[in-house]
Amino acid sequence: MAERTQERETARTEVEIEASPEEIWEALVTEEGRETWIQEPDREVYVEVVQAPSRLVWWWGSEDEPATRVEFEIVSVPAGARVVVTESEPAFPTLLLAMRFARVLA
Amino acid sequence: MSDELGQVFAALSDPTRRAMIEALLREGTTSVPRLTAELPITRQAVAKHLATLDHAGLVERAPAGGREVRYRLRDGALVSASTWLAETESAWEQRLARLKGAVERKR
Repeated sequence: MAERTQERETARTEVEIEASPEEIWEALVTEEGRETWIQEPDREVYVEVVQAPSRLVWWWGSEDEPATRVEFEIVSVPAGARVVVTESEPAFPTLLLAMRFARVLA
Repeated sequence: MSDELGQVFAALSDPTRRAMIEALLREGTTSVPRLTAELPITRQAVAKHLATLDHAGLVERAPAGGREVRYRLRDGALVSASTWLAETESAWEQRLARLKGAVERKR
C-alpha cells in the first residue's frame, strides 16, 4: 500500500516494493518501463537528474497543465526497496517558461 | 492547474512568508509593526512579503479598527493549494500501486 504524508507545497507519496533498486530503476528510466505504470500518454517527461539507481528527477506536463517537478528517491530496505515520490510546482516561472519552450522545440 | 495556484506555491516557498501565514493562523490578524517585532527582518522586508502574500490572494487588509492597517488570511486562501496536494497524492498512490505491481510481476 502507498503511504502518504504531506509537506507544505510538495505532494509526497511512497511505496515499498519487493524488488531491488536496480529493478525499480528500469521501470522509471526507460520509456517501456514507464508505460507499464504511468498510463497517461499525453504527459511528456523531461529527465533532469539521473543518479542510478537511487535518485531521478523529471519535469512533466501536458497541453492543458503547466509542468511540475517530480523527484524519485529509491532506498534499499530489508524486504526490497522504498520509493519516495515528491511532486512540486516550480517556484520560478522561468522554469515553467523553459519547459514550454522545450516542448515547442522538441 | 492555473497560474494563480503557481503564485500561491511561489508565495509559500519562502520560509519568512510561511512564518507570517503561521502567525495569522495563530493570531487571526497582524500588522507590519507586529510582524517586524516578531521576525528578524526589516519593516520594509515585512511590507514586501505581505504584498507578495496579498498578490497571491493569501492575505487581505482587515476592516480598519484604528489607525493601524491590519491584515488577515483571505477566506479559503489555502483551499486551492490543499486540493492540488490531495489530488496529486491520490494520483501518485495509484501510479505507485501500478509500479509495484509491474515490477513485482516481472521478477
